[in-house]
Amino acid sequence: MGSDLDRQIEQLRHCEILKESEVRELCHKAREILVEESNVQRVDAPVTICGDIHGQFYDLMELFKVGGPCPDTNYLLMGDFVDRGFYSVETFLLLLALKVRYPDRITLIRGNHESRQITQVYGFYDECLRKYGSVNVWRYCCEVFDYLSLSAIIDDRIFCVHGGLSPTINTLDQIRTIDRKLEVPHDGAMCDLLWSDPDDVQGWAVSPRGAGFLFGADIVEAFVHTNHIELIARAHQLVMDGYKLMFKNQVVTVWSAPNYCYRCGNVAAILELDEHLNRNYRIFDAAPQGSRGLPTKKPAPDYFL
Amino acid sequence: MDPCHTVPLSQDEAVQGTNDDAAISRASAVTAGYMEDPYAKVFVKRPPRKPPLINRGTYTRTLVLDQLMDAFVARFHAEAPATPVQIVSLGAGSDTRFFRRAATWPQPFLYYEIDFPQITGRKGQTVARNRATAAHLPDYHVECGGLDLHTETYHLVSGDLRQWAAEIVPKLVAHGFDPARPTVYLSECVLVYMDAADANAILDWVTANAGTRAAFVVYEQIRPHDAFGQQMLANLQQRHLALPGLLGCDDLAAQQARFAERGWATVEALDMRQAWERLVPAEEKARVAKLEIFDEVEEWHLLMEHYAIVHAEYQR
Repeated sequence: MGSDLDRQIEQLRHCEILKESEVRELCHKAREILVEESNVQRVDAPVTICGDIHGQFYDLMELFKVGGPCPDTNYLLMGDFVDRGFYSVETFLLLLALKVRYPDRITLIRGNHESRQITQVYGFYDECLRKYGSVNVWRYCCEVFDYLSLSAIIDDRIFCVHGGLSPTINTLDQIRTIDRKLEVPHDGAMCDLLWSDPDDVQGWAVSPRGAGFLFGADIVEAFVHTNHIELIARAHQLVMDGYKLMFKNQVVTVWSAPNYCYRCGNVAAILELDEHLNRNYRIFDAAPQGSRGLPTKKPAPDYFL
Repeated sequence: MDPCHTVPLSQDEAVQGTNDDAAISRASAVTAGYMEDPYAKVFVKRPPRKPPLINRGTYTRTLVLDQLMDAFVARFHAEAPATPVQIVSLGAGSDTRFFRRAATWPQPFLYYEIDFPQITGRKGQTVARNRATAAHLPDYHVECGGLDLHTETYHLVSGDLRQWAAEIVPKLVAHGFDPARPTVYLSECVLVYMDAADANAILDWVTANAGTRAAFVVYEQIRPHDAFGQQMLANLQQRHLALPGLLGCDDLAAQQARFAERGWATVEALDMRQAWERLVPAEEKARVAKLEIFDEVEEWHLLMEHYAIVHAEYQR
């Protein structure tokens, strides 16, 4: 199996998909590992924190170039591996294969796009159908999504989550009690963790996304204080400069999909933490055109014409 | 010059292709329930699903342009009920506004659509053949070998907008157009594809020939200089689509200035993010929010900030 897995990783690194039977096996093994993880998975520094990837496979390769290969570098990815980009299948399977091969060197937590409902709107479902001729692979992957952890805590000081906070959650222990092994619900704590955004509001406000909440500096202040942490790292929102600090530097948004959707023109970032939790942001651009494979019938990004 | 002649237009094929794109987007937004348009599917064979932000943006564009056009037509009609209000749609493509409004706008009005012959020829055939559209084309006749189509109120006119005064105007006038009458000009993603000199020639002519009332409504791209704008130019360039008009008219101030400098009295320019926030009624926002999952908030803002809606009015 070890050598099989290494071969699969090598294959995926070349942006080649696995056989359906291999995917089933890989997803099964991934679930066995993920089921043991906590809703607030403990991670030791040094670690490199990454935000949304969204199926931009060649930009993920760029990320590994900038941050160093896994397992040499310890990675924590804050969800949204799939949808929007052209290579969600290859992207997610590579991350999953790395997880199975090096479970202690890569942490994957769930984003709001790791969901049956969202992937049917934003591309992953269609991509699986197109690349495999059936939706079995999509089904296997969705079963893995349900096992992904909801958050992580680095050295008890830095809380990492895809979206943000929830009005029903004050402490990390409350997150630990959530039964997470299901499709992302439409409301409630689990939904909020994956959907909410920090914003210039007082307390809580309605989110324009139709799920989760907007939360203000006062909420963050209280959460940081209660849980004795120094920083909330999250992803979920496109930021043109790759990362964005808010609320007296108590919240950072990390975004790792350069030129998002091949349309937005943004740079991407990863956040490197050394063993003392010193922070270093690394900015990177989209992979140069020449290094990309030739996608078949690549659709052009949409505009209003 | 022969009013029906066609010029080789190979360099313009990319611009003509934008018409299919707009038609597909409109059909997608209709299928997804954003808006009603019984004629949207007349122009597309099999509407593919567009992403939610494209559906929402197409809906916003249609709603806001409808609001403006309806208001201008109603007011110009009220001011002079016996005089036909004229609507001149530049680069109309497969726009369905005439068919959507044929029965509801106050009569009399005259509706002129101008586009490349490759577009008007296809559109004329399509609308004459389809039963729903043909119902609004009583006693139509075709000219220019089928490139142009005319009824008493609707005129589909082929030509090159860069030859405005020499080629287009004589054809309009031959079909009852009088620039001195109250007229609403509409440009949806059209002037931006033209060189500034050609676009300005149209604006100059319209200004010089306007009577007591003229209105101009523009919807097109702006802000090419930031990261999103640069990527937009690069992506469109890959489709061999250049936006030469954008450099001379690159933001809301410039959009306003090109009318204000010509003496147009009232000019208002919004970007489409502002238009969504201010002009789309709250109950409509609530309704469309329920149609599809919408997880593209930041991208939505970016995209909408790169389009402008401008309306100007000339009074003599």
